Amino acid sequence: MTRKAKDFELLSAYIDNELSYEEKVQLEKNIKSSLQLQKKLEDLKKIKQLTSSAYTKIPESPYFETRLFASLESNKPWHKKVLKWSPAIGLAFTTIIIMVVLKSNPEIFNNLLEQQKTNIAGFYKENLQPLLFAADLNKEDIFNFAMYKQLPLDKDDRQILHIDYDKAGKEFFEIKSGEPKQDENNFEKFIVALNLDEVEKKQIDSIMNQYAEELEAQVLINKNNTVAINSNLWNYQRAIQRDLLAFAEKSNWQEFQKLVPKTVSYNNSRDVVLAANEMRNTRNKNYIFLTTDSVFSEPIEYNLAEYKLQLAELKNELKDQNNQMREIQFHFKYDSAKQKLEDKLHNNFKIIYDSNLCRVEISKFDFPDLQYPDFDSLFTVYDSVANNFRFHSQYIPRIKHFDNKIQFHFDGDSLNTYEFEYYKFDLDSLMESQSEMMDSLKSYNWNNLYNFNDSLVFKGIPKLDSYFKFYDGEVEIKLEMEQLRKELEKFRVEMKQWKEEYKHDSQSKNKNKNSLK
Amino acid sequence: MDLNKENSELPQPQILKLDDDFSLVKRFIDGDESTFRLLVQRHKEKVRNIIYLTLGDSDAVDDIAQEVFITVYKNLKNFRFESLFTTWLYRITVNKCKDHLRKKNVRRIFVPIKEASGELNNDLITEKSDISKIVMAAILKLPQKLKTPLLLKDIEGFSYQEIAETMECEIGTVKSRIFRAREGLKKILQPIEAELME
Repeated sequence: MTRKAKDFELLSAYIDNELSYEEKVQLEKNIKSSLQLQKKLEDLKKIKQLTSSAYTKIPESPYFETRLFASLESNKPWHKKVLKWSPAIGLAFTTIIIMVVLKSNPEIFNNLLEQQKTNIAGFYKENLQPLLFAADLNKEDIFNFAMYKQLPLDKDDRQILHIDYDKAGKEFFEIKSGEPKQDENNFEKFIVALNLDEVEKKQIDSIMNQYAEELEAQVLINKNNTVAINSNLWNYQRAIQRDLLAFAEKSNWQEFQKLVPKTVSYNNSRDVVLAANEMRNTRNKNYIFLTTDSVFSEPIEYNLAEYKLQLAELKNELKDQNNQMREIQFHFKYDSAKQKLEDKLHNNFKIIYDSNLCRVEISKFDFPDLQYPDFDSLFTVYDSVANNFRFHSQYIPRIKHFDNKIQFHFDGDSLNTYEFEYYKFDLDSLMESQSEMMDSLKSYNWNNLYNFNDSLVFKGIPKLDSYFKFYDGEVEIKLEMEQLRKELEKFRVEMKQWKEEYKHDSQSKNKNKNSLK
Repeated sequence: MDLNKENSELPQPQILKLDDDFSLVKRFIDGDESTFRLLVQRHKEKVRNIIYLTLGDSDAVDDIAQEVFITVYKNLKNFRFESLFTTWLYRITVNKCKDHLRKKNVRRIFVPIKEASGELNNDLITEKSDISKIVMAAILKLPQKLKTPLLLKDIEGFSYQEIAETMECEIGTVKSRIFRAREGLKKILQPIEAELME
């Protein structure tokens, strides 16, 4: 490089202020002495000025970063991307597994649910005992069940199980509090009303005993606050009721006719016996479980024979303890807080709950069907007969008078408390037709029927039709007569004894007299 | 007492800024990849401008700038802190521009010679467009190795040292190339010198 070219290059660095102090001093000396260098310096300054001002900034790119990070993301190694999406990938993977499992085994969830249900049911099924043993049922209880569809859940009748059909003919059952009934000897009254002789009494006893045994496994209870009701129980009630009434008809047709409603034509009772036999042959494992917090149905195999064996052993063990057989102090409690949940969970069962009772309405359930002729008409007839008998024999309500209303209360039955307000009601006609009215109440023949807020107690004005006939107080008179007869018999025996004693005494006195003589 | 007084009057050590380039790079290396976004935000416009100046082609700027930052992202963990982060960044930028031009030159073989000629386009001048544009067009006609140091110096205000590091060459080379660039530019602009000097 020539000296001149070297200086030109230094000029370029000079205007860029990139020379060392010595270079700068030397160059400035040279510039002063050289016109050519001065000219070149001017040119270079001009060019630098031009280039420095030539530039216009490139407009900003608003999506630069977005694009960049998207590219970076796509350039990341696959394992880093997988790591980032691992939660979603995990979820997707799980979904795929579930789909595959469901595809190959579509019943898996149902089975799991079923399994879970069985587990829960297992808890409630523990140590189930027949109600008959727990509540110590007797013939009277079974008679009341047949006629009035009520079974005591405990010995003291603190709670009763009531099964029935609603207006639409759907089955329901309810557990409600009852009061001890001291004076109800319905079965005895029934026998008296029909004037049964000794042979007939034995016959009806055997009928009752047979049903008592069969009924044992129909209602089971346990300490876990569970009531298990066999779906055949409704049929049992009908069968026992019909059997009893058929027997009544057979043994005393005239008395029985008084119980049968006039308007219903009724022929004979043979099909009732047939129905009962068929019902016995209908084995049914489906139980409806009512527990503290749920209602469900579940088939169980209850081995009555095995249970009886255990019971026999238990009896032996307890022999020394005054035959104290009552193991269970059963009192059902329902958790009303869970009612809403239950309504949703069990579409087939609707639970109605108030402070007095817990009613389970069964909308959809496969009840064992009884097939026999004229079933529906018989059903109506027998229920009417049972109601008639109930009223005439024992069903006298407690009557309370208030300033503006009269209240009828049937013990232990919140459904059967009725109120009538005076101003809406002709009291004379009420008193005159009180008995018809009661039957009307039972057949739910109401105008303006409505409920109280908390309870299922009805309030309204009944229609005073006289659908059912009644006969006044004959049973009571007969009972009194029977009592009188027994007392007279006793008196007669006593008199006879006294007579004989007297005779004996007088004879001995005479002997003494004679001997004295 | 005197000593204490003296100490209190001493300038207190300056607290390091944790968002300086080195700190951000260090945090990135330590695993905090969020700092990369800060680096991008801080330097993207400079990078884009260098590319624009070097290529004179605004269409390719963003694509190449993306490539630059992707390269930075991939190699940042290997950064040795021996030079400024910016020097390293601009070096990558310049190299990316070179790559781009190399590819473009290969393509140029297949286009008519006239388009690829080093002469200043007469249309540009006859249209009497803005002087800046004319000068810019002239600069772009310079060979790449002359053009880049000139632009880094006159437009970006780099020192010769920085240019040397960016271009991975000697300071003397930078000095020489900038002079030659200015000489070349003068030659290109000679036909319109009179107009420019007005």
